[in-house]
Amino acid sequence: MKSGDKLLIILLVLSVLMMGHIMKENVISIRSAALSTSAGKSKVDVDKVKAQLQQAGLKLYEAQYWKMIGVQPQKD
Amino acid sequence: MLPIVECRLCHHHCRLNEGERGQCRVRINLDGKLFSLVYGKPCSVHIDPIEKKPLYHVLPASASFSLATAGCNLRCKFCQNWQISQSLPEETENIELPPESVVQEALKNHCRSIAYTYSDPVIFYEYMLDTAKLAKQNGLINIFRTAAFIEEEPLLELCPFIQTASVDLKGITEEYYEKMCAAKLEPVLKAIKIMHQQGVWIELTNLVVPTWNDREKDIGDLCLWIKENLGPDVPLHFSRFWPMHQLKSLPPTPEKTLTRAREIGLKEGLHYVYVGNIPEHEGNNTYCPKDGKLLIRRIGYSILENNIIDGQCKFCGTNIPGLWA
Repeated sequence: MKSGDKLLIILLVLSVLMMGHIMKENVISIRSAALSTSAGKSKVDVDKVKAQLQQAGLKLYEAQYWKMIGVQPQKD
Repeated sequence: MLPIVECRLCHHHCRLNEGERGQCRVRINLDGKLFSLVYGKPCSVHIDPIEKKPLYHVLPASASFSLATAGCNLRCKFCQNWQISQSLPEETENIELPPESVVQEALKNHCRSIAYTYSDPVIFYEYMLDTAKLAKQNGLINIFRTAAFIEEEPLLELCPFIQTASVDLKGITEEYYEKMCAAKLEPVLKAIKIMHQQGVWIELTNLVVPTWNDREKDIGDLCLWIKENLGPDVPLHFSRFWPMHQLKSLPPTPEKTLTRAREIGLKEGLHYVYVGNIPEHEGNNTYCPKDGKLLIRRIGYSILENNIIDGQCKFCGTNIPGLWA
């Protein structure tokens, strides 16, 4: 086997390894992003949010045109 | 269990978990209810010439009491009011101005109209609706200055109280609306047709953005849609783009592009096609579609000559549509 062929094989192996690493990283980040959405949401401190809004000089006015569409389990 | 609510005001239909806000930044889910954070809390209040809206067929040379709150349901890359439209209400300086005070201030300042403007008033819907009801009772005209990205039901509730709408028809392709504004075209076209059918006087504005929506085909398609769906009497304003917000690298719209757009509109059969943001362009003026005579001469927002009497051309008596008195 020529030395040029050996180099080519090494480069191919390296690129396959790198691609595998990149794919693994992406899969992990997508999975963790998915897990951090609504299903695992922590309970929001509504009183604290209201206090912050009040401190900013804002008031709550009940909006029109909305609907409750479901509930999600809360996680303390 | 934490309640999830869906906002049905605009076509985003934001689904909000507890404590979350919609894309507009001003509607929040708390305790399983949706609240507006900007009712009676405008961050921008001015008295503008009505020509600035732009409305060229409504009470010429009158003053319009104009207000906006923080937030917007669109994300236009070219937004000229991005400092308020892309802000949280906590980030703007707001004043306390309930609907009764808006009407009182408008009357006190000799305004003939109230304009809900600058950001998109859809996002302060409840505040606008209550103010518009009071304003109408007090003989004021209500101006809905909007991108019309609103659901049918709230729009139908609003229509009896607004006499005129200045609508941004930003482009005529779904791709443009999606890429430039993070919105959709089809609901906008539907909302414009609804307002027209409900008897709201409409003037449309198309901001011509170089390389984005300035192709002759796009302009022709836009004019054709107006003619076929609203008729030739709905005024169309082609407005000049200035480098702004996320599009600072683009040049201003060349004057010849706007002149050409106006020619296309007139050739397509529209009766009133204007050019905006170029003060001395002949496209600022209103001409009689029958005899071609100059009816209203404008420079910028000033009116130098008005030959419309009782809604008619002074020279040939042709009816000129609009709200003139």
